Amino acid sequence: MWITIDTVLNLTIWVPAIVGAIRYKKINSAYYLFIILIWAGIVNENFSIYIINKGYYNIIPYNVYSLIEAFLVICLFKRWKLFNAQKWIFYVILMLFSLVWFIEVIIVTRFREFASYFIIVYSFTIVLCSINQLNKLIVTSEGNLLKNATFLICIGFILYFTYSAFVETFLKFDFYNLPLLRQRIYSIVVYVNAFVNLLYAYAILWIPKKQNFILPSSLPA
Amino acid sequence: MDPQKTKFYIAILLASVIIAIIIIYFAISLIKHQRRSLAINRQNVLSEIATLEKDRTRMAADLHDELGPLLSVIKMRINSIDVTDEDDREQQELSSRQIDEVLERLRGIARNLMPNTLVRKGLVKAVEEFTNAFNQTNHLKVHFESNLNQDIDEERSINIFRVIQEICQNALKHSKASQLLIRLNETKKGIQVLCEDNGVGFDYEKMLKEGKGLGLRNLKSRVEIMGGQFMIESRPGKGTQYVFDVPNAPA
Repeated sequence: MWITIDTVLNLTIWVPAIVGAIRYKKINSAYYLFIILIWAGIVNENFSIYIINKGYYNIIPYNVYSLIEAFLVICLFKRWKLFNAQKWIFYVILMLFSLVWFIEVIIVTRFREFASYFIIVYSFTIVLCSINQLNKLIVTSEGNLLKNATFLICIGFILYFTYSAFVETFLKFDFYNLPLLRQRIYSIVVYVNAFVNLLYAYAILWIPKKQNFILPSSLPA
Repeated sequence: MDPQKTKFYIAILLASVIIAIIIIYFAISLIKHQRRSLAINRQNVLSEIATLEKDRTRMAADLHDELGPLLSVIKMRINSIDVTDEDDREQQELSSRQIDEVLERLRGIARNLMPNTLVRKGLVKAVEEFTNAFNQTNHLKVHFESNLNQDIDEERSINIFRVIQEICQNALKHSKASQLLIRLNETKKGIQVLCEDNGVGFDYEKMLKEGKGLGLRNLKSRVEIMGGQFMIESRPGKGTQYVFDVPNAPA
């Protein structure tokens, strides 16, 4: 019974992916990276299932995907002009991610373990960036925030990455020896994932359409 | 303590620390954005007021320097016509008087738009001149007192002058007051403007809720862009008191 529910809930990632695919050509280019992020998640999940079924570990693709995901989300924030006031923060974050990933994945674990420290660092950074973006919208936005794609995506990021940081931290500190705690945390993960996926799908519906500018090149000769 | 329990407590502690950091960051970031937004709003109001004052100065100059001399020339030409008929002479004198009235009105409008005295002699003289002119033409009597000795920069002078102008107009239009007292005080921190009328008063909060009071909002904006504070005490039937504290300009 559990497997059935888990499978169904895990399939919810396809909802934002399909909605994103349908709306991709119509939406504002500032959100392209978000749609790409959803698709990258699906590719990673299916590839992981494939190689696990072939009898291999999915450590290498998962670690590579983690780095790509971190970069995509930070670039998305840059596209949303979060770092406009202090552009150097964007580069510092990219450098930090690269450094932590390189040290943990290449030097310390040599692709033999999942990059837990890297996941904790980037999840926490994304949560802080999302909070910043959220507050910027709260202060400056004039419309209904529940119909604001950026606001909804940030809520999703905060929920998902906070939980992700918790899970990895508990895993790293070996708290999962507590059977009840482990059971509770894993049972919640599935629901958090499903809720965030549906929230992303709803957010994609509210992504503004791209602006059609009349450029000189489009004028008749 | 049982190692399992110790681990559990550490897990709880760690979770609490992470949540605390997130909440604190949320609060700090919200305050930061709020302040940035306020600064941008203030800058916008400042630009709007600067544009408004620039336009008023230009209009005052146009009225005074272009229309004024033109009307004077017209008056001179009318007066130079040699008329013999008594009716024509009467018409000539009437036209001349009307042109004088138009000229006087024109000067009044130009003075209201941008008083020369404010630029040449400063705030106190300009307010004196304004209140004297106001008392001559309106039933509301304005009493002006000042103990200001310091020189005030042009920007603050204009803003304080506009605030006083607006209060006089508000008292005249809405308060049904017979007396209005205006006092400019020099304080340790800056300038204080006190105004009090004996009119019918109004419910300030109710008026703001109803989206009325454009003039009052302008007053508030002007005081805020000078970094000052605005207080108003008014109740129906009890008159109105305004207090503006304008800090000294940073050195």
